[in-house]
Amino acid sequence: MKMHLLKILAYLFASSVVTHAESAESRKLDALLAMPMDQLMAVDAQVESGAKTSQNTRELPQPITVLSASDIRAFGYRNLADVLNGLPGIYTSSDRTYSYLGARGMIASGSFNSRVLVTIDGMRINDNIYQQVGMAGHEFPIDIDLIDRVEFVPGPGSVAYGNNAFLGVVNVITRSAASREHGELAAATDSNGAWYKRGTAHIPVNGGHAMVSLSQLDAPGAAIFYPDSNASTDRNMDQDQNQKVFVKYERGPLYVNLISSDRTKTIPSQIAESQFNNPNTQYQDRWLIGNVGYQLMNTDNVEFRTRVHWGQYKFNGAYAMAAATDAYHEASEGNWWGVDLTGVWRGIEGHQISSGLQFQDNTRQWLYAKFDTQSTAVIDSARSTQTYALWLEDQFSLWHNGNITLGARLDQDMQQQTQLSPRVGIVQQLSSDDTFRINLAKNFLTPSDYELRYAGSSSTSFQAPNMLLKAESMTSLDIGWEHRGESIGRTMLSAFVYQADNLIELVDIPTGQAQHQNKGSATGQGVQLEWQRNWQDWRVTSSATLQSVNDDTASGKRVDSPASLYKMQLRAPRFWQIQPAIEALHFGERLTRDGDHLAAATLLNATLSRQMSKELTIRLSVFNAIDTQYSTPVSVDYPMAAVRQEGRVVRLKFEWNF
Amino acid sequence: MIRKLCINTWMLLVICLTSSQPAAFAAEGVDTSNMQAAYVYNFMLLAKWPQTTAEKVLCLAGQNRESLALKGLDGRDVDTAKLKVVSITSETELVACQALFVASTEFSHLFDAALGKPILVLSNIQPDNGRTAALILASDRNKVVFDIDLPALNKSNVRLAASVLRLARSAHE
Repeated sequence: MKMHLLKILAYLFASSVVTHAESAESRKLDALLAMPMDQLMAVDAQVESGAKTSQNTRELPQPITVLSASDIRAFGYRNLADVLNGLPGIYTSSDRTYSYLGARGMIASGSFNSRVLVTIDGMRINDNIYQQVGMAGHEFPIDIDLIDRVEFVPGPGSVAYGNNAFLGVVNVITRSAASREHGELAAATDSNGAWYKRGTAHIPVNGGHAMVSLSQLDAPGAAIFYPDSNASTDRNMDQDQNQKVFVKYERGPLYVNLISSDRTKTIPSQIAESQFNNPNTQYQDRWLIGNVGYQLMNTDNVEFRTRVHWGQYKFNGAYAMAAATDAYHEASEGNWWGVDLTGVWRGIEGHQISSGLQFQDNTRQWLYAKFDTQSTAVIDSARSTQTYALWLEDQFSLWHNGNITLGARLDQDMQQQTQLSPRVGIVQQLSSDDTFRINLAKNFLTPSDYELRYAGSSSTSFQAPNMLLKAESMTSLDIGWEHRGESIGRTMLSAFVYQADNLIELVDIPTGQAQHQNKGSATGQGVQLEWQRNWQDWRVTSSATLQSVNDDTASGKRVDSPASLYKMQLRAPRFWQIQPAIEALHFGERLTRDGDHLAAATLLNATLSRQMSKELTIRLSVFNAIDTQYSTPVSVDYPMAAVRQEGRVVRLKFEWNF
Repeated sequence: MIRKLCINTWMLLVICLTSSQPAAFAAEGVDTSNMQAAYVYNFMLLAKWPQTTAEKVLCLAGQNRESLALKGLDGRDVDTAKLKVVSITSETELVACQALFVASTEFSHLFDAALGKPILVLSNIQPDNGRTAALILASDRNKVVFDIDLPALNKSNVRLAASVLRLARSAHE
């Protein structure tokens, strides 16, 4: 009886709190509605995290290409690699273990240390062992359905982001925690037998908004033909299973993100010369990342925000070899926490000065490898390091309709090397429709712990250490013209040229081992044309990139560097309540490490979406509709130089909002 | 018994904690969502549509933190008309809208669909490669401001009072 009374009291108390809060909010709104607009403009608004400052992108020295949730859904994209393959100048490569991102003719297959930085809500979340998160396939730790938009900033980004922002920065912005009334359920299946499920709940909590999402993918994969073995693998050799949890909380100036991802992938491509067609060769990647951000101040002249973050990355790899005595497994674990402080000061007329401080404590960086039949490990090495960074940038105007951005960043990286990343950018508004940009910057890519230290003490271990590895560096110049006019749509013409030195590659050495080495220099140049146009209910987005990268190898040509990329997306008007979206992608010829030329590939993807009711949407997609048989180069981790990519896949997806 | 007592005590504790207002969150300004709703209400008051209607329908496409108070405008008077707020999810529903507020990039294709129709298109999301609203609300420092895209506004044939154009942070031609 007492318990019931307690529950009733609690309910009445909660109801009165909610009613009181609602009526107070209603009174506040009434007072604002009674104000004329000029008075309204004088009212201070509450400071909020992630406030939409609507920065005019025309004033930035680097152009931004945006892909929004509307297009992500209309084109039926399944993962970040699908999204990025559609963006100008980006290409991906898959060794059927991970998907790697390439831009401007450079990619980092095998080293995991991506030269394209991917951030989530503006925050880098790279682990402290491999420095990865350039991984874009199903291994990317956020479910693509939770993405509000993807922004791609081509070219150097080290002045703001430091390491990895070498060839471009991809900002993945997750959707608002208040973006649904209650929640969403989604399910999909495809012609390979994959099953995808997701449940997302949106809950008001303590005056703020929370989003909790759980996703699961169980993809058995497809049989893959390997010409070197003259045989196909069994279907389950390409199995991909993952579970993802994403929690986001926003209240006033506070936001909290929690990302958890657990992925197990069967490795079909005989990594480290493991036995062909043996499903016991598997990789498991687990991420646990937390961010707490707070907008400390947002006044007329000063803006300050801070972030505390922590993370854990765990890897487990099992390798089934032909001889049972050779079977081994490897593991790694990285733990870290850090704090960032970022500020903007507008105290001097005509200047916007941005600055930031970053500290990260890598409390554990552990690498391990052991043959199953031996009692001692080949590698069992742990250490801890700290990194620091300070950056300062000023954007100011010296002449009419033009501005200059001067910035520099100083990093002390994980290897205790000091890196300086300066940049100068000039933006000139030529007319109300035309913008001209120049950006000159120096970037760096510091070697990861894996590249330096993944090695045993004996010379019989499979990989040799290289503690003399230096950071890669790049100086690049970008020039661009952007036109936004009603008659011809949005057009961007850009050109880039860069010089990259100390490039890190995994190579075979005479001892029979592999080793990461600084393999000389490369020069790259390219031109790119982007065009977007709407007329009536049609929308076309297209891009053409022509690029050339020369390096110090005997052929002078860079491996896995397509000379041309052509992309086109078309959204057509609805018919019978069905929205069609078609995408055509062309990737030019690629060179393998053995010097073979892999044929160019043209892919056609199409999605039909039908909204059955306000709540239910059904999408039918076909990827690689013409079933193009093509391969992409892979690293020396694999015995073959190229691996065949995914053929035709038909996918059916249901989404129910409530 | 102890378990039940613990559950009920825990429930009360959660309610007390969630109903209290921590000092860190003490209001230092007006809720941005209420501010944006007040702006939208003013825009509706100061707009003139090519045709008069008995009610003014504000269509909402998606939602975010800053747009939540817009539903509170439902039933208010706009001159002689009643303001009706409805949620929409597709372009076929645009025919009933006098104003459209896009609050999620999932619906950014509605910018294309509404272009040239007699609809006052508003938004508080960042422009998406040229897809944009006639009136874009944003936070700038500690104020809510708005920008106007004049070509998009002119195509709609919805006229805004000169005072709105004067108070805009910027008016892109």
